[in-house]
Amino acid sequence: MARRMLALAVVLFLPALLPMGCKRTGVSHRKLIAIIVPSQDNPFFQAEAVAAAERAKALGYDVRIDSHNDDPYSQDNLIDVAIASNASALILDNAGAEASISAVRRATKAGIACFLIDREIGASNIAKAQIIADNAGGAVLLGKRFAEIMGGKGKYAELLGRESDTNAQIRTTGFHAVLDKFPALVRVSAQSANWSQSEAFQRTETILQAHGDLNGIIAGNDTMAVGAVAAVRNARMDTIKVVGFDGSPDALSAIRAGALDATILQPAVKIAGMAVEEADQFLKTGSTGVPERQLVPCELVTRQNVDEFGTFQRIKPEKARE
Amino acid sequence: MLPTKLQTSATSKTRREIILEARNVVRKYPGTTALKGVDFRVYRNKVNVLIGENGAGKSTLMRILAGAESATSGELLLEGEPVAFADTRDAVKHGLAMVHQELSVLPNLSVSDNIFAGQELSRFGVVSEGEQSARSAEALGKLGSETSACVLAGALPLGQRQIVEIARCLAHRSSILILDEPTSALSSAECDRLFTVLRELKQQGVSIVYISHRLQELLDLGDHFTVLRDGLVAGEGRRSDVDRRWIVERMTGRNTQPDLSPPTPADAGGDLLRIDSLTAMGQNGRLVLDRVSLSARPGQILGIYGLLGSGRTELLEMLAGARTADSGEIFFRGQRCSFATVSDAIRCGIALVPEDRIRDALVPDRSIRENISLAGVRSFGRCFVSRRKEAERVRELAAELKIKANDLERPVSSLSGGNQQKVVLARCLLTAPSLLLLDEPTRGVDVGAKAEIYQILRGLASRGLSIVFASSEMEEIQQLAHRVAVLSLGAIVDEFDASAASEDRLFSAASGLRTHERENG
Amino acid sequence: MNKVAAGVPLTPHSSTASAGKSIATLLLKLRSVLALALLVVFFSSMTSSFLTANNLSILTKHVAITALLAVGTSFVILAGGIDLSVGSVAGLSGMTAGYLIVHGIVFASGDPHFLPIWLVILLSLLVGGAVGCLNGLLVTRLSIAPFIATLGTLYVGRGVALLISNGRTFPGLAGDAARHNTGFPAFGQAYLLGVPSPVWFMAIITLIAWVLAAKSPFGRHVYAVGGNERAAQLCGINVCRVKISTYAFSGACAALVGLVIASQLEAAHPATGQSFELNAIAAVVLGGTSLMGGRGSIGGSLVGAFVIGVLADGLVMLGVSEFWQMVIKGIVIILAVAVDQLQNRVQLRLAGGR
Repeated sequence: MARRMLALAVVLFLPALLPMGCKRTGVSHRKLIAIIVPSQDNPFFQAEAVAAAERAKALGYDVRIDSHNDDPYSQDNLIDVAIASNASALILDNAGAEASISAVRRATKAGIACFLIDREIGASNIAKAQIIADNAGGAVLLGKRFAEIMGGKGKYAELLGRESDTNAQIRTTGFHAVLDKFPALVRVSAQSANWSQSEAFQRTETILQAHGDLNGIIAGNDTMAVGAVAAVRNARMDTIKVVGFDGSPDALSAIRAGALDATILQPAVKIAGMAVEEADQFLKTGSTGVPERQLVPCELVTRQNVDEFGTFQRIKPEKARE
Repeated sequence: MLPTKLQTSATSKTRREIILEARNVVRKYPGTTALKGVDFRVYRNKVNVLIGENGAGKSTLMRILAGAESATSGELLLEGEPVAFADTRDAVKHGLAMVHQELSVLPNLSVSDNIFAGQELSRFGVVSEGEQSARSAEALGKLGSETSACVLAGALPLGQRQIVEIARCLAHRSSILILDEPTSALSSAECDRLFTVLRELKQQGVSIVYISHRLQELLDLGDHFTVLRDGLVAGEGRRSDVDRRWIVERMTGRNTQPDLSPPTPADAGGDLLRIDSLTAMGQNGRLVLDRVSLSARPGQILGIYGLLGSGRTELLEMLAGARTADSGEIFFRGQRCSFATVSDAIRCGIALVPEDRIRDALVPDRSIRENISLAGVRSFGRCFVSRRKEAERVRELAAELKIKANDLERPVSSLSGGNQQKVVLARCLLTAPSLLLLDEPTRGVDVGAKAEIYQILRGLASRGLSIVFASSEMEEIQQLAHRVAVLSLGAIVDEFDASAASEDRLFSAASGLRTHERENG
Repeated sequence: MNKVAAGVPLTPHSSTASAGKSIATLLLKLRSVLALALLVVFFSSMTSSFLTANNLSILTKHVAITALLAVGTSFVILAGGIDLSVGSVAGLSGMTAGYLIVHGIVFASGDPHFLPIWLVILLSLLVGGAVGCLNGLLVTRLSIAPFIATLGTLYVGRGVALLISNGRTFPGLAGDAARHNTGFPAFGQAYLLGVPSPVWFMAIITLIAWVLAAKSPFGRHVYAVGGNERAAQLCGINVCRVKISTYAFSGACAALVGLVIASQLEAAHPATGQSFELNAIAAVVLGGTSLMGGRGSIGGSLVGAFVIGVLADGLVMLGVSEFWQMVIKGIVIILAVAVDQLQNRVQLRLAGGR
């Protein structure tokens, strides 16, 4: 019986370890870049993690990807492990502007060059670089597009992101900087759907019940926009225009299908690549040669130019607009 | 030494009388052999009694007969044909059914659902309620029970649940019924009813295998007797050849009869405990205790004769601080006191050995040592338990009470019933009580250990301890008590010295209960 | 239940056989330690940086968090309960400390009053203990099943933690010299004799817990309540008090964890400690403690916490994807309990029971 259990243990355990155990074989003399992102089951973070990893491998580094699931304590542990593994650089999409400061400071003290992507922290001169997408600029772009397709008038609803998230604030401020200039454009409802597709679906259904004459929906991210599209379809109110933000693969295919009108693409792949290149530059020369805070512009995606974009990146050069 | 040789050359007539036979059954467990080659016959339409001390192998043998376990070697013959049961369901198909020691009634299901649990009658995947209740009613009727098939089994009194279990066997058309200690939880009125039912079943062509510790009921009921000792058959005989002495000798392997003579009354001192008009209300608004007044003296053993539901458990728990009375007074050492908690009572010197040691007394996973020291562990240090002092005291007690265990660090669940009971007793003695309360002191304890426990209690009384015990066994009251009180429906109906405690008097005192029970029917 | 009453022949067995048996039982008893050793050997051979003083110090620091929670919950589980609220309590105590450091206490009128750090820590621990007491009272006085009662406080605790700051993080817990409340970061970050402070906490709390469980009358009472509550009551043990104490201890341990984390991050985050309760329960179970109560040990829980910690950090160092990490963690837990069941059966057989 005991032998059988032991055999069972071996059988269960080994195959679980083999596929990854082979990835890193024994001792390596190459420098290590640790990449820590919020999660690996979200296409955005996955794209940024994979992009950073591929760029780093191409530049001759060892790479490790971990995710902190938006938990500052878990991020803290992962940074400790990075320190213990003598990582040279850290590419971090952090778990909270304030809660991440001490961990980044500790990593820097331990001699790891930290490069923050996608989200900032509330302190300067600790990280070597903080490269983020220009959310505010993107929001203004999307606001303009939305006003355009609505013809400058009509009733619309807004789906907001998680209220505690700074990006949710930045985006809605950007939208309204444009939309509030059109007096005929009336916001009849504003609800938080916590970035979630299923919550957006339910909220939209409720909003459609209350406002049968709705003309448009502007969502704080694509996940919510896709949820709203599903609710609109279910209610057979296809004339309602929906726009989102992020440029997720789902949103791009919805744009191709004509269900979603527009989205703003955050160049996650570009940002990740920039961070790795600056890290490489820093490790080789001791300086990144660029200022710490860098804003990367976002791009508007519509049915006209959707084929120029892949997963969170531009894959074809911009065509001249007709 | 074994009488088996004689009987294998049985005539063809006896062959026909035998419905089920086990031949040379051996059952080995790693480290121990429970059955060492047992021959056992079940006679057609008879009550076949199987007796033995705890650990003699009775339960193992029954599990093998009922298909719950398989023998290491040996064979089973049903109607003269060799059979092998894959599991209990297979055995049931062959007409063998077992009524377990621990009642396995599902309280949340109706009686008919219980009777068909696991073997529901169904049509197109839907349980056919109608057919089930009809067949349940038929089976219950055969047993003379008026229980409705649609009430919840949990709402039934214990005796009725036992009947439901038997009905379960009958509904599956079993021809051989195995009952493992069916009366251990029943009141004597319920026992009487069960015996009537069993006798009727016998008439209806059911063969019965009956296991019990209670010699009297075995002698009343049994037709054929088989005694097991240490995994071997120690004796076999018909009712006409068997008496109490025959059974006890073969069970214990001793030639002595247990000490049956009533003890001499001890010198009476002043009252240690006096209770006055103790009254308590039960959950259903009935009085569980009705103006009970009693007194106990140092050196005296007071026996309370009471059946299940007479209020004996409630009375003892009240004295031990585990329950509060609604009115009445308790005087201990002449001072009025009311124990709010068990620890208050223990501090005053009162200790209780509860009725059901498995449910109420033992912590099965912990060691014998820890179980013994549990109630008085603070006496070995308030912040740190001194293992040395503790082990020393526990060893002393274990020796004094003759607890048979080669290692006191083994879990208490590894002990036999009698030794477990002694562990509970040792725990009480460790708190240095002056009043010892015992509820059914020898329930589920084999004959040998029973005699030892009686001797221990007598010894304690002679050292000045006051002992109050409650029992539903008349024999126990007669053997152990100096003074007897009869409790019936919460009231003391009679009180007398042990010398006057004849079976007649006990019966007639308790008879108020009997008529009442019949009324409630 | 009645099966335990079945008698066991008390025949003495030969000494050689018993020696073999005791080695077998010993190996089974030490199985979690063996598993731990196996894991350490495995990870050391796979990554050179695993078995370095620096990494071991970091690893132990991480383990301390799980260990503190596991040791606290052990008492609850030994007494036959369960505590699902520990993660929330950790979050709540961190937020309490954050609030006290950033906003101070505002009395009816006037300026906020800032407390010294030791008092902040004490109050936060008390909050944890109080939630524990609440759990205990719900379980004993209102007879709510422990699973439900602590599930309720899990939500309430998390909700209150979010309410304290309206879902935001309290930043900059370094304090302010002008307010005389600096020094909080040292609580979880300081080193004493080269050992990080969380490890000291783990050592001290584990030692206290071990003495309580194995040496004190209270420990006996906990085991008795978990093993057979009714028997414990009839032995004069105050069952309610024992249960409430176990929950209060667990709450205080969880609060300590919340403080350590807030101190390490120098920020209090309301979501801190989410799903910590599962890690704690996993560690306790890995340590051989029965969820039915009455069986297990504090040392076991500590080893269980180490197994979980080594597995988590080691797999990260190996670069194993987080999805596989989950799969492996789950398999390890199931294996541990399977082996536990095996041990019970083997012990029963070696004991010659049925």
